[in-house]
Amino acid sequence: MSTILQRVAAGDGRAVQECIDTYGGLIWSMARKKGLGQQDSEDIVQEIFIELWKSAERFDPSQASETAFVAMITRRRLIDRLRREQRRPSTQMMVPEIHDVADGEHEHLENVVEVSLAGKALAKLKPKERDVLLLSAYHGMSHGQIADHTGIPLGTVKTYIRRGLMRVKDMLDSNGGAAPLQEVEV
Amino acid sequence: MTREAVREQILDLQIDHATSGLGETERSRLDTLLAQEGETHDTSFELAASAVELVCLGPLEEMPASLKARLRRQGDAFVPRQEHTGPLPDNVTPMRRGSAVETPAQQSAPQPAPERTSGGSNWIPWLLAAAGIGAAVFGWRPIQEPPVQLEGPPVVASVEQRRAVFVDAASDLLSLPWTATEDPAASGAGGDVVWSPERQQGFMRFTGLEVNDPGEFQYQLWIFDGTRDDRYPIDGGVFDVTTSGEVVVPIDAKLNVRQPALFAVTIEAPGGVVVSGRDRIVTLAQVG
Repeated sequence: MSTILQRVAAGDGRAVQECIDTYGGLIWSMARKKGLGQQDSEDIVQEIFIELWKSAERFDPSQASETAFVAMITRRRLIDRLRREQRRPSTQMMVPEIHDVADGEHEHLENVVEVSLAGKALAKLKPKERDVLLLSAYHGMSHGQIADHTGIPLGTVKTYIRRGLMRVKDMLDSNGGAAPLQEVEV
Repeated sequence: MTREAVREQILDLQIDHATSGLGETERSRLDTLLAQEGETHDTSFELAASAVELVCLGPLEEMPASLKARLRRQGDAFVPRQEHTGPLPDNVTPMRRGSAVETPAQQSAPQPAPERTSGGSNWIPWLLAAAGIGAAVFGWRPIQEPPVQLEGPPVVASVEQRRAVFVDAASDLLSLPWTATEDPAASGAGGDVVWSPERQQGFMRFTGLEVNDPGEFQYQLWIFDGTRDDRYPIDGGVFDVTTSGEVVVPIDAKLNVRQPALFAVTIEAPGGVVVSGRDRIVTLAQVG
């Protein structure tokens, strides 16, 4: 059975609409969490959907879940936007909370394999390593900002980010050989 | 630099790219190093960073209903809502974990992508075309709102009156003369475009623009916004010219125009397009 994005790539207009229903909340939430205002968020969400539909033919469900692919395209676009506007994350940002994907709050996300695997990888990191990775990957803070914010030496910050992201990547990669990274049927 | 050092640098850049993004210089550096090593961009770092973000995202918010409605119209313009049961087209090229989905440079210029110079503006070729210099074939992708037929015939007294009232009332009015290109439809064409950044409203006025048969072709306005990606000019609406005399057309920008940089009118297929081939540009008006 084809996924939504595969059907979008095949020119299925209903799939385009289904894509909005399925991923609208996710993309909107990701944009809002970046601190964009209402108007900017609406604009960028429109741009992201265009990008997503154009990129649909590149999606391969054997390599990533559709939700993870959507999040990657969204994230890429948001980062580009923030960089272009030379917005830097506030150094007052807190380390984000790691949500329990089984708590029912995530709706679409609780069945995303990558989220579960990334959660496991994060749980295995030392608290400081995890905090630094989250400040970098979630808030997009620069190495220097993280060093200033946490008091951790710059070189150590870089090491923590690298080590942490490699752990998450390895966790996802190891699953890639075991089973397709698709959303789990419930 | 040793090969090991090169590979270390590639890894560092890929991780930076995945976490906080790369600037143009760093992107170029990564592309160069990857080419040097005969490697392609590894998206698995981006997927990992995305998974981390999802872990921390928390409850999802519902997007505004008005935005959803716009997206639906946008989606209809992208692919009409229709039954489709056929197989995937032959040209579908799926992504590969850890393989070349896109280079970082391509990520800022999705395929098929316009050729971009670092920090350059995609509307410069439009100006070259207007100057009769001729331009390379630049692709560009507008904000893909569905082409909207502006309401009512363009030449009506009420539109002219609305324009007059608008011009008198607007304190932040931008008034720009049209520059006609060498396109036959624009031969001898003139007029102006007025725009109020505060009101987000404006009007186009044309004289001498070729009367069009809506079944054959239509005119379409594009607005380049200095604060947005140059590849995504805002769709300003599709319109017709029904008389050889003066024509006044209200602008119907689909998105907030924060910093107008260039207004451009093209000739497109009936109903307008979501991606202009830029084959026929008829008039341009540049800010500043």
